[in-house]
Amino acid sequence: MEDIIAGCKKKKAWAQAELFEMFSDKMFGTCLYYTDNKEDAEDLLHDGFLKIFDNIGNYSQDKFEAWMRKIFINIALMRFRRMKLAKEIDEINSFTLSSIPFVENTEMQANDLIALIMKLPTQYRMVFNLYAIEGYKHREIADMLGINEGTSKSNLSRARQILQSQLLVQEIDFK
Amino acid sequence: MMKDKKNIDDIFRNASIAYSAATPSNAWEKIDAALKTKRRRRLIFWISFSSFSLFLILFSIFIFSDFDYQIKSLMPNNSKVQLIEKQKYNSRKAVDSSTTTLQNFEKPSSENSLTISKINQNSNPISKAKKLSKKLEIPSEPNYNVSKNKNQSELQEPTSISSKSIQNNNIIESHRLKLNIENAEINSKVLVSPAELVKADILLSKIEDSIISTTKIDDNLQPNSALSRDSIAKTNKLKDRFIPEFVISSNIAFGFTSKISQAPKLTEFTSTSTTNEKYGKVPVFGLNIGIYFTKNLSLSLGIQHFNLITNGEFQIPQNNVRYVNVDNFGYTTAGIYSVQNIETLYNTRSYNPVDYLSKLSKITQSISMIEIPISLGYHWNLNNWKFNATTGFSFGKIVDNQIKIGDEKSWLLNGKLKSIKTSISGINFGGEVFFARKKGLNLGIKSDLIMYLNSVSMSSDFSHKPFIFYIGPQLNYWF
Repeated sequence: MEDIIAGCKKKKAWAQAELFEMFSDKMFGTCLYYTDNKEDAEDLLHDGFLKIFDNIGNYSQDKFEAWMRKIFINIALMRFRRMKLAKEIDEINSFTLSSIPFVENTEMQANDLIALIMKLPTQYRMVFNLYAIEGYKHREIADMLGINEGTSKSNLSRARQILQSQLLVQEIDFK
Repeated sequence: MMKDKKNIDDIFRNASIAYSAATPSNAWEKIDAALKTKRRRRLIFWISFSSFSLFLILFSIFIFSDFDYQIKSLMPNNSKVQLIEKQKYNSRKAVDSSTTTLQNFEKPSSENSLTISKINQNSNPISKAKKLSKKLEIPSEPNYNVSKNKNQSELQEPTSISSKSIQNNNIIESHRLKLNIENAEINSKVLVSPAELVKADILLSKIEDSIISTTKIDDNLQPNSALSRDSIAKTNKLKDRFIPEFVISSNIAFGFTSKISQAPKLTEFTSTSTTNEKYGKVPVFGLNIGIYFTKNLSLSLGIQHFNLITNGEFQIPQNNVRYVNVDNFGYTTAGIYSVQNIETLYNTRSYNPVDYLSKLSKITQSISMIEIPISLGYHWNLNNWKFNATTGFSFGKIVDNQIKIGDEKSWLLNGKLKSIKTSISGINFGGEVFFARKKGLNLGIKSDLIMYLNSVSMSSDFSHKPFIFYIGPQLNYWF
């Protein structure tokens, strides 16, 4: 692994290909639940790896995967802020529980759970991911997304409510 | 309730930690292509940067070394003026001191009279001076001793100064002094005064020293002596060579450009639309400031406006109309947009994408660009005409970018594009011809070929590196 990182720092093509091979599936999974469709996730993956190859010279931490993940999350945040600026995030008001398609399987897999996250409105999804999965505080989330702390809390609450309802509909025991 | 919330968080966190998904098969190919493009751009940047730095260094060396040489070659002229002034001053001083001796002198001795007669017998002023100098080395009378010693001390400075003197003008000055001596000789017959002799002696010594020292310096400096005719000619040539000339030029021109397609990539995942563009038209307006700093070399800095207008044909494949990838248009990287979003993005008045399926539609693109060329030129004269060949770097900035697809009744796209890549750079090769009048207005012809090192397109799918060629009249004002 150290050889690959060292190779990437020297901009060696073989090392970059190896690194992509090692982490692409895992990072694509991350990209998927930060977006609402596969195409956006592909774009995120593309931009994320380019940024990693550009900035790998600055990497000096122990946990490489965590560092990579942070880069992908940062890019997702940048895209979110840009979309917000372009007023492309307007689905919250029109969102209803019925917007979520029913999941057919009674036994939910990770894929299905991620699909539920992907179906959340963009802002709810971002807040939920950052709080529940990444472990950020509401104040931090508010700073990152450019929203109020109260909005972050209410978005999280609403996201949980939606996910919970969806899980209940599917009669999944999540105890 | 709280526990339920925590449980929901845990369920999704656990799901996400272990979650991975198969990446699309072509993901690496896209990243690899982007990395190669970045490497190429980096290489182009460094080549351009290195070339420009090298150019600046060579240019600086050329300029400063030549000016240094010029200053050195002009140095003797300055010292010449100082020396002549100093000589004149010392001559005056010597005359004053001899007048003082004359006042102290009561009666001329027979030896002094003999000296005068010897002077009168010898018509060569240099030999007279030499003889007088020998005479002065042997004092005969106390009074004369005083005056001689005094005058010898006076002579020391002019001698040392004249030994430094290296100019031809000294010879002219010497001749003038010779005439003074001759006059002094004539006068001495009348006055029969040793003081006059001393005065003459001083002047003749000066002449002798001046001539001897001039000869010495000439010997030292040959064959590149600034005093020799060749070196004077060379100095004059250098002076002529280094008189800089300034010119302000404005030009209007017309030319053509290569394909610069930025047509949108209508796509459902990987398929693209097709665009067939022809060579574009380029009206040009430019303003240039040039300095002709040597007989053959010039440096110019300008500002030019290009309007790159390309026309072509555009086709949407029938099975790929669901998405428009606006990345091709740049600015937003939001990714895939549905066709409906075109309306808000590009101010489309009316369209029906179905009408465009598998049809060839017109595509017109107009890029407005401001460019700053920095060029080094080599010029020469031929039968009253001056030719100037230039090469250098061009730095362009796209200030406007319009695209139209379809016809006026039903535009598919009609609007302004905001480009991610608005700065491009390239290498220019040009030529100018104008009537070789030195000052004032004159007409000429200017042409230029600019080859850009990077693409104006937004996507690697349209990675044409454009070139522009133009030719047109030029109005020059020479200062």
